[in-house]
Amino acid sequence: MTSLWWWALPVLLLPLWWHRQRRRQVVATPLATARFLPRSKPRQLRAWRWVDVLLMLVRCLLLATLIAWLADPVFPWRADTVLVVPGGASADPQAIHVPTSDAIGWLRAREAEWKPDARIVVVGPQTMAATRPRLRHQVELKTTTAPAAVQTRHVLIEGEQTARWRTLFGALDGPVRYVADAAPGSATPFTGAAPRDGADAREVFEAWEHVHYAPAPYVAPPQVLAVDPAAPLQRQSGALRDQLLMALVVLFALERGLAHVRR
Amino acid sequence: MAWPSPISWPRCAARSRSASLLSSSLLAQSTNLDLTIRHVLAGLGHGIHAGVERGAGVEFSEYRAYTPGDEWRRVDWKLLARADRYYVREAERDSHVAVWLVLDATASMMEPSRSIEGLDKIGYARAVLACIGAIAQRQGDAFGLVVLCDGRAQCTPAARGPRQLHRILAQLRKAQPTGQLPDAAALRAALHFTRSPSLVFAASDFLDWPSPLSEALLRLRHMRHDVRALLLQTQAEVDADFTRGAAYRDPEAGDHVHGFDPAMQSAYIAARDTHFGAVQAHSRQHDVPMLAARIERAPGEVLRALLRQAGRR
Repeated sequence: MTSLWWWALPVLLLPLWWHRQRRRQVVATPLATARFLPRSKPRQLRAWRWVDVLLMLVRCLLLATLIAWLADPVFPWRADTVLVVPGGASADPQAIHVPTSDAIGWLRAREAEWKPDARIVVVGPQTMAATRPRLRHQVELKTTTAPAAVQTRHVLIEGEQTARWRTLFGALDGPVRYVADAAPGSATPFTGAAPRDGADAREVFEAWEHVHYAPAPYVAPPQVLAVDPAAPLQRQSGALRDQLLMALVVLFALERGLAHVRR
Repeated sequence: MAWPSPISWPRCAARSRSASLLSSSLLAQSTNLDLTIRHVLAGLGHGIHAGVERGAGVEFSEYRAYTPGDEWRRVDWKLLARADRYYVREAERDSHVAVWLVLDATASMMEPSRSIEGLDKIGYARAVLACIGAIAQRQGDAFGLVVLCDGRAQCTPAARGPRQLHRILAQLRKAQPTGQLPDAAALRAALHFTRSPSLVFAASDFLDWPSPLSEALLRLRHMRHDVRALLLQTQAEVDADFTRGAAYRDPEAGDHVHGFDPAMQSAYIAARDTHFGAVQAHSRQHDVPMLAARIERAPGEVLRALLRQAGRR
């Protein structure tokens, strides 16, 4: 949608139209003996010339900047880059530390900023996407798996086959360790008893939400993602907005000043 | 009578023929009237002056203190040796003619020369009148100035001496061409010198005739004053050679636009000749000599022709 704003560029013809002076009356030169010449009607000269050229240029520039601000253009200016995912490390001082573990998604949103021949290296625990990413640049994933922090959770087992449940919890592997408590305590988030009323049920639900943990992201294996020239190119908005807004303010002030001087 | 006598003038004309007369192109470059006078009168003034100084009717009257502008040869050197002061010999003159310079400084006098840049009618009239004033000052005659501009007549009373010349030159420099001629009443009030015999030099383009100025000049002539008119024109006006297709306006007649193309040239010449023919005939009829001069001519030549006209009378 934003690129459609470029179709508004013909608006720049408006200042050119405003500042043209199509007709100009011929300036009569004083002549002492003009009384001996026959009178004639004041002639108008058809002349295509512009008045207040500086003001006209400023107005054209103002409109062009406004259109550019609305169109929100993105210019490819980044070269080869190293993207560092949280948890990763790079010795390159020019490396970009992305704020999310999904560096590919972050890159896809800003891919228009990179030059067509730029290569990108992703360092760190980049999560594995559900589908193979399609990008217009060559992206090399140098992923590393960070050791997961060990968590301990307390459970209370009641009912039949308690011993077998204890064996099951004890056998679970991974970053979360389960400890079976003999009696409910402060470490045990909630009991298995059925809630008695609405308030009890809400407490049980909040406690369940508290102990629930999201699935640990799967780190993508190191690989080189092939270039896909047909990949859809997304544009990150707001890349030049601040600069264009500043230019817009300056040009507006300049235009007002020049218009005042002309008056 | 001291003013251009028929005896002294031919000798002066012969002397000045070989002298270098300031050309109009030099006049266009100079705004210094003193310098203009010095150059124009380089051969002209000496003849007149010498003739008058040595002629009859000039008798010693008194000494007066030297003032800047006095000629060195009028300083009494013997008295300087005795008194260690500069004194100038003042001569008693039998001339009682006052010279009046009338400058038409209306807007039409701003007309520039189309061939010499920087030269216009008002500048030319200033130079010629300044030279006449300088001659009058050298001859010891009283001289005054009337400037007609913007509906008013500014009068500088007649007086003698170099200070008067400086005063007149300052007034001439100050005169800027604007507006139209004053009305007849204003002119009559300004020309209050009509009681004593006067010599009147009027420089104008005489595009308005009859006009309050023409009526005043003819009235003065009828009162036995010696009136001489200098009609100033440009070469382009004489040749009817203006830029083709350009628009022109009369500086004194509102915003009417006049066109010029080759087909109008003959009509222009006919209208101009009719007007100035009537002007010349009218002035001749009333015995007012009128010299038509192009401002591209050297002012010395024009001045000589103007004075020769006077000598013939």
